[in-house]
Amino acid sequence: MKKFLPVFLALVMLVSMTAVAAASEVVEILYLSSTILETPEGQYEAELIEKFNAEHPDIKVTVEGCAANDLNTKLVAMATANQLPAFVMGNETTMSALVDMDMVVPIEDLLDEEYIAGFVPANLAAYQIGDKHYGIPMFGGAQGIIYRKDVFEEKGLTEPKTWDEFVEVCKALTGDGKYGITLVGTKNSSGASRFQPIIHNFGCDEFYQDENGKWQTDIGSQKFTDALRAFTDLDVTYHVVPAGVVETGYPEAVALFTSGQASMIITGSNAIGAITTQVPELKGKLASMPNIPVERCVSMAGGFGFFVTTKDPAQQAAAVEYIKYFINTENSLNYAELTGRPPVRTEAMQSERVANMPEMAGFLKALENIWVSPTIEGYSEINDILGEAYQSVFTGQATVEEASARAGERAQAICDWANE
Amino acid sequence: MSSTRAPGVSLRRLRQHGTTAVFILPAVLTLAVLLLYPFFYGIYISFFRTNLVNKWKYVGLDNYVRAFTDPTMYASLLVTLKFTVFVVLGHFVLGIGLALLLNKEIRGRTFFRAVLVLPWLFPEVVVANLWKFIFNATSGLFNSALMAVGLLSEPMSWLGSVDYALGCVIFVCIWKGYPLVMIQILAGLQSISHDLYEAAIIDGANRRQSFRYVTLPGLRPTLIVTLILDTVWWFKHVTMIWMLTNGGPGSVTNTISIEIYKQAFEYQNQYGYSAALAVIVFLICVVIGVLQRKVLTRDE
Repeated sequence: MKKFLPVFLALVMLVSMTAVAAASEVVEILYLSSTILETPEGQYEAELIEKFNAEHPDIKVTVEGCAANDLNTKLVAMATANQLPAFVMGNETTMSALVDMDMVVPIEDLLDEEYIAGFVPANLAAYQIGDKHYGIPMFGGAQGIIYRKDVFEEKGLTEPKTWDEFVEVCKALTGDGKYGITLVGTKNSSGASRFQPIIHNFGCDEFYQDENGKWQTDIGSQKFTDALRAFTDLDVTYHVVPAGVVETGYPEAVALFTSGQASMIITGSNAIGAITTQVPELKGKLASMPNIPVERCVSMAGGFGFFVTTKDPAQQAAAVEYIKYFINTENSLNYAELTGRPPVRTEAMQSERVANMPEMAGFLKALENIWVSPTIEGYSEINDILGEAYQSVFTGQATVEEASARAGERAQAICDWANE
Repeated sequence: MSSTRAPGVSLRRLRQHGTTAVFILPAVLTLAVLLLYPFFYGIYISFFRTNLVNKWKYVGLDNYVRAFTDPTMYASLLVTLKFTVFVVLGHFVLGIGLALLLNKEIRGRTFFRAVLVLPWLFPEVVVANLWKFIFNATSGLFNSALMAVGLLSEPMSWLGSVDYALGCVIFVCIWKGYPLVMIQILAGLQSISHDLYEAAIIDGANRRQSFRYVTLPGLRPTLIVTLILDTVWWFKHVTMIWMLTNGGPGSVTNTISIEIYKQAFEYQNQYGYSAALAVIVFLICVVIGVLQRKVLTRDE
């Protein structure tokens, strides 16, 4: 027995070491996602990660969820605690904060030129600061308006082309307990991001750099005041919006739309997935159009990107592997059909399957004129500035002029801060 | 005498002190790590313009100067003052009233004690979501009930109304917090000796006089502690206000704690300013505590 004991122990050691060596070859990467908590995106993404892990035994992706409105807050908190995951999803505001903290790896360091050239230019442009791109587009999208095609046909209405026509359409759709449009009036990114297309189309640039490189703002200008008036008049003057606009967040607005209480909603294309998941009978009854043109017709990039934050080359490679898997033609088209979030690769966008999504037509048109968000330090305060402005008018706390002036003061403070 | 006993006594004392130190060390370390470090770190960053990662610009007292010249801070403090006064008042009125009732020999006392404590047991997030749903303009129970009895002709946006939002938030916070005051007062009431009431009755005191001259003095230590704790707790409250209104509509429910939260986590690179506001709030809470204690112990 004694003879075999050393042999047995040596075998045990060998097996243990092999197991340790095998385990150490698996690169584990943590991914922070907001869509993982959403429906129908969450289930799809969880299944995709499971499938990816099965197909890639050397990589293990684990995902942590965070509500979309809390994403930036959580990321900043994690970054300040030096606990960032390997990669995260987010929008331009996220990127601005991460770049400011030097926490994100430029995609030029992760992907080759040929692969980068395969992105839809509008999607890629949203993640550019200087001559570098910091986000790998995850899904595309633009802001626009989803409307009930069947209700429009029933009332003999067509897509409005001017703001005045838009107001008339809203009025025509209002009556018998139903309203023309549901607005997201909460004071957060959900609300502000749906007001921003209005001010942009009224010709207002939130922040821009003049010829001397100094930051300037149009917030508080006559154009901003006009946009604020037009937006708030929908509720205050024309009463074409369901009650409780300042309490109406994105989920409530979708619920008002799906229940038939409102026939239009300002949103991104992702709402198509949310609406048809909640009420499948609405499939085929939806259509979309770009936001109403006034001085111009632009749209914010409504998509999200992946930001690789790990400095470890093995983790970077593993993160890129997963990201490429997520946005490959087949997976991104499946995702688009399910969620209404368009692909970001040119090859996928040219697929017939995209052409067979008629409810996306307005958003795809809006993608042609993307307004790129400024990268000014302190930009994330814009949600509160705009939220305070429209809420104070909706509630009668301030006149349009007063609210516009107050927003202008706050925006100017950001410029002064950035110009210091 | 002492010189002959000194070495033995010193050694014993040293051992005793050493043992004591070993026992209190974990608590001291925990306090230092969890309370003192964040506290002093907060004060430290209030002198910087920073993103807490790679930008640290020393700005001296600039953040404090900015705070004291910013009308938003005064507006937020005013909202906080209104909020705190009404919430604490509500807690004490309800808490004392219910404690007095539950201190009597009534049928089902145990049941009522259990039920009335329930709001305190629910997490704040649950309470906020529950009342948000109840107050919802289009599908809320409150509007449905008022419309059913004919008190409202069309839905009302309670949490979206400049006139009612703060009132609704105060109501929810009173509902959530009164059980703590009730339990403290009830415990205080039960610690008052019945002999004192009997003596008061023998001296010819009526119920009101018994309450004034026996109950209230007997409750004074409990009242002081509860009042200070409750005031400071609600002065710096964030969760339910944030979940119910996000500080809106406009800035109607934008308390100073909400402003601090927004400056730190909603805006970019404002940690220093946010920390300066937090230091100011800390000082205000200290002043409130000292003043309350002085006023309430004046007659002792």
